[in-house]
Amino acid sequence: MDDRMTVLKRDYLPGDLAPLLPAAKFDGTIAVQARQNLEETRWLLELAGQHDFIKGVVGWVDLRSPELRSQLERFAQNPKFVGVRHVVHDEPDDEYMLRPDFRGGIAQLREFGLTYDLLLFPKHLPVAAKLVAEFPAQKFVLDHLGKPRIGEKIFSPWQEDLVALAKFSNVHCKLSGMVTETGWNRWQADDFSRYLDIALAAFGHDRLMIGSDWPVCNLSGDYAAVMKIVADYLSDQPTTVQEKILGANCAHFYNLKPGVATPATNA
Amino acid sequence: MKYNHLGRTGLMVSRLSYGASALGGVFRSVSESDAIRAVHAALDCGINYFDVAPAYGGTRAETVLGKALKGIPRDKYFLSTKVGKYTSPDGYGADTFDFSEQRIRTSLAESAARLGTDYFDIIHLHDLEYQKGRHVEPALGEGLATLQTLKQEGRIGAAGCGVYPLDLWQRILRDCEFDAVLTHNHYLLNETRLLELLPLAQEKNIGVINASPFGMGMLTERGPADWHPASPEIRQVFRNAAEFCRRQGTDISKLALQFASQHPEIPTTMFSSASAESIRRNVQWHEEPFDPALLAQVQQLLQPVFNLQWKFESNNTK
Repeated sequence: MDDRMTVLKRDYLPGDLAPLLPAAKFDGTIAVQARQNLEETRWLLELAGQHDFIKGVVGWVDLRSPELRSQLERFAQNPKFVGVRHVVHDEPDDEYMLRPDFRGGIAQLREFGLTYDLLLFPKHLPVAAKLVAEFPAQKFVLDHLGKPRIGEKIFSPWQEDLVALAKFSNVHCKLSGMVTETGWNRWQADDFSRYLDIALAAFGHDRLMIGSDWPVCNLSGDYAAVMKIVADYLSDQPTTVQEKILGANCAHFYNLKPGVATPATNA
Repeated sequence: MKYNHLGRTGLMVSRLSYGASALGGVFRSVSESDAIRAVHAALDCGINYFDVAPAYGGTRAETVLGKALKGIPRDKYFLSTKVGKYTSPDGYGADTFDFSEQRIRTSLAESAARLGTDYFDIIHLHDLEYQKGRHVEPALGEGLATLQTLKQEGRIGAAGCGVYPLDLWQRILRDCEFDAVLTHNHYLLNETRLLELLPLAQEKNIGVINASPFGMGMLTERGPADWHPASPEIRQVFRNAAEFCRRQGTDISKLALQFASQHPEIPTTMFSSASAESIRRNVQWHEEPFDPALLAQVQQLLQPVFNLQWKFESNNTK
């Protein structure tokens, strides 16, 4: 972490998020992995056990390991273990997702009812399209719209590649992570509307879900301000559409138990 | 019909391929004239790969397929048969096994006579895990070595095998030099574990043939034959899924065939049928993309049995 990251140099715990959720009119969240180790997955599940508002955990498992099946068997006993993510965009190999052992790992998720979060840069979108084509029955969600270069107002080829990926009906998308893809703390809500237009046109209102990227969003704003971007953007949409994107789609995607009203994901 | 490279075999096979087990009356009894019409319908639809085995119907499937292919130029189709497993005509199940070089050579001569050709594009070692695994080592040793010799002699084009257990597949793909593998019941509506094996096969450019898109009848309106090992409770889960499709105005077989045969990384999916009408219908279904919403609903219904592994042999070998 460099100096700009100072705001993240502390522990963020459920107690920090708890008051922010009701203030922004959300009553739950999905906790998503940050570190790539099993210890963190165990810890997130433990926190989810202690806090009702953590509705589910997207954890890390070693998708490339021969031990994967036993890791999944262990974690899947916990009903709050809902999905898996690997920080693919930090891998030096752009085609990391197509490696045989990685694909062999993805192949095992559906049996355990698990989703997969795609954490990518725009250059990875065509690779992701190849991956998702291979697993038509596996649910995927693209985090942070695939991280378009919002600060530079660049659209191509992100837009074309996003549209191509959205053609696969097993892929969903999170409206999240936008404020850190532009000038930190210098953004206006307007900066995001065209990107949101493109995502809405590509995925439709059944496959989009709001996300906070908390606590990373604190680098360039705060929980309430970030959630407000998408909520305001949707304000002229019918209530049913707003309800879907602001919570119901997330609950459905992660297969959360009924009674969970409006969770928002923190990825 | 589209065509794909079958790994390092060098064959360009149709995405749908034809398994002749139904011609041996494995699923229900079949008239010879219907069987011949079925094979011709498959050829007319662009299917160019046919597989059979001496064990199907106690050599009956090979005999009937041979009659059907008589007069068809040999360069219009690829043909594989199997060696090592033999059964009597009256029962699928009373099996004997022999993977020795001597038996493989006589087996090929017998198959050649029944099928009217002395060249096979692929020869598969058949169900070599049966009888508690006692044939695994002879098959993967002498059996595979014999296939490699036959390849060098120009008698066959490629060496293949067909087994069911996933752990044995892992070993075979990792350690053995086959050119093609015939998997069954591992990529279909109720199971996708073939996807765990595909990367291994691709690393060595081994051609994968994905058989049994209908789960040996489980994913059909008619349901499976009596010998299928599924319990009554499990059969009910499949019946519920079929019933759901019927209420949606469709046939579960359609979704099953589409799902299994449209995977972009699987070169060919092999189904068996002795009816010309079903074959034409399957090809038509295959050409249409599946309905993703229906897929999600049906797979939800099948979730209780998803990736369940069957004990085929215990009910199968008398």
